[in-house]
Amino acid sequence: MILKPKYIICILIGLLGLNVSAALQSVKGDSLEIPEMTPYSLSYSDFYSGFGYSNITFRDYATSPLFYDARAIAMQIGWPVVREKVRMEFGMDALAGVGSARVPQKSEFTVTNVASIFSGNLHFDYLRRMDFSNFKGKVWLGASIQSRLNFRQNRTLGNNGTGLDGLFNLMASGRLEKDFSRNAGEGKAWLFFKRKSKVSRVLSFQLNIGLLNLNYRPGYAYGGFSEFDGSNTSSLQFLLNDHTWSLNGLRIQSQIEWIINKKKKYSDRWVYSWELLTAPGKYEKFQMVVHNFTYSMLLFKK
Amino acid sequence: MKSLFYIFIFSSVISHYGCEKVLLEKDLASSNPLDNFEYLWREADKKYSYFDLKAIDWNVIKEKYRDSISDDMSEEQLFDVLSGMLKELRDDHVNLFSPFNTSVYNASLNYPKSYNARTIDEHYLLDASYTGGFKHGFIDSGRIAYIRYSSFTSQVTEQDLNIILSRYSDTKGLILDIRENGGGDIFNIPLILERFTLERTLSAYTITRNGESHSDFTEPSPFYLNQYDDGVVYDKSVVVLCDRGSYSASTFFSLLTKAFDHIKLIGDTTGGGGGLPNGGQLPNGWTYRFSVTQLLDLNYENYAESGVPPDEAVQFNWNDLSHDEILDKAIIELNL
Repeated sequence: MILKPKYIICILIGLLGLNVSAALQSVKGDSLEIPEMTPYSLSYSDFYSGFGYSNITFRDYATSPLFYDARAIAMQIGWPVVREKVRMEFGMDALAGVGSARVPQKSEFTVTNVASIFSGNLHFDYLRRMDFSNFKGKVWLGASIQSRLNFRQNRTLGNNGTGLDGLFNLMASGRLEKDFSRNAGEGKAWLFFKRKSKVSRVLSFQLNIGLLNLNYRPGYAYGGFSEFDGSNTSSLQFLLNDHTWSLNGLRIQSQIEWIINKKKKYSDRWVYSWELLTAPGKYEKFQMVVHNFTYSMLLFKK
Repeated sequence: MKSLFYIFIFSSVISHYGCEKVLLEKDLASSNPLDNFEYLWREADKKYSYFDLKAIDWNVIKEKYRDSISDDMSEEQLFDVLSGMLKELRDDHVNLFSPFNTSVYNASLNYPKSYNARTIDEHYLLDASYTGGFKHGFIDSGRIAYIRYSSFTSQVTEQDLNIILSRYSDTKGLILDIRENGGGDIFNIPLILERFTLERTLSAYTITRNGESHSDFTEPSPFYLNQYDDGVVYDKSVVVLCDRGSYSASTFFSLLTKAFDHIKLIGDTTGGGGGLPNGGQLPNGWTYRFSVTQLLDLNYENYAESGVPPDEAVQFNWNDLSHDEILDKAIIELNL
């Protein structure tokens, strides 16, 4: 399945609609708006929803030695819950994109290998606050559980054209947060404009490093037969028949998050995240890098 | 302190780019002829399923073609060498795909054809109907149903089969013609064959390459056909017509009929193609495919790759195009 531009536009419009409706909720709804809360408050829970752009690079040695570069749209939702000493977050993101192989430039002929990728990730973070007297921000340490599922399609690979990868990780997680809020009247003047309004701003950086890396990858021949139960055999069952579990590989994630609150009806959340994962599997390696830029609205709840 | 914080974040991001370079290993894209030759040879060596059965010494083949590789050869010349090497596998499930050419072995050219559509249209099926991917009608004065399925790439729906089989429910027997059917989607095989299956039946086995040695395979996996419960079935005698052009899914289909007493295979040996072809890509971006599995009959015999022999062998006589000898034999068989 290759995503046509009209579907990408539909998804983008859908995501925009989701965010607009979320913003309206925060304006009109009593339960979502608490002006006193800021992203740096000691205790809060919130909900974010957003969309963005991703660059995905992947290589599956089982079918190709070449890297594929895909441009993707990204969607992100999450529910952070922050208390004085504990920070938890459950979130998910979905990426849908189309790309092509990095073929050698020397060829006289244009080689076209288009691949589409849909990738979904679920994560749950549990972090505890650490006290470091010489750092004026917040330091959190803990663990993150992540599961990423990839569905890839490349028609030029025939019966190996569909790839399904499952990547499940228990990761050590560290997070730094620093408050850059400004009170009314503070700040430098720029030409004729002088900043007067109060702005709440938090910059945070989170790093996750995989400790237990589990992956679900194709078998030796990538595709093949296991028991075939006539017309009861589903395509998915046929596709997964030789997949095997392996405990190996590596996964690293980092995320820079900038949250800014001016109107106190909702906060703007800008995120750049980077993720690298390798899954050697039992037979052949799978590698993937995701650069993700997203904007989301952060809504505080009672 | 703020500046330290910025520096930490900045250096962390930069270091991750470094990680990418180290952990992802180098880009293996290459247009170098030898790189591509070695890659293709090695992948086939690791995964192709019929080396032993066909007594192919892949190392000898490598030596034979390796000398034709040079750094300054053109892409067309490289294609010729690589496709020549792959044709040594004598398998139509082995192809090399480049932007300018596709290599094909063409096994069916080694044998005469046994199907002429015009003979049937002019002398047997005078009032054909077309339903989905099927051409069908009454023959032999309405006593026998004739169904032509020319490609397993044609979609098979339950509705199509219900319509067709209902129409011929009062016939004495049914002929399913898959001559010159080059294969397609194996999921269409049970959809058709289960309409003739009276009980759940073990029909074949498959094995899949699972190791570096040419003889490394999985244990045989059973292939079952189920009794069809949700619509029209045909429980009378069935004859399946096949020939050398019946390849891949058609060979699969033909082998599965051997598990049923009321289904008879008439015509010529099928074209083969008993392996599931899986695809891959070379460092220069070209793609290829080759067989990674084998198809076995209920006695674990492996002959499907070179063709499934018919229960009754009949040759088409090209000197008399007013008759289809294979179809005639099927009519006689069903009238017995």
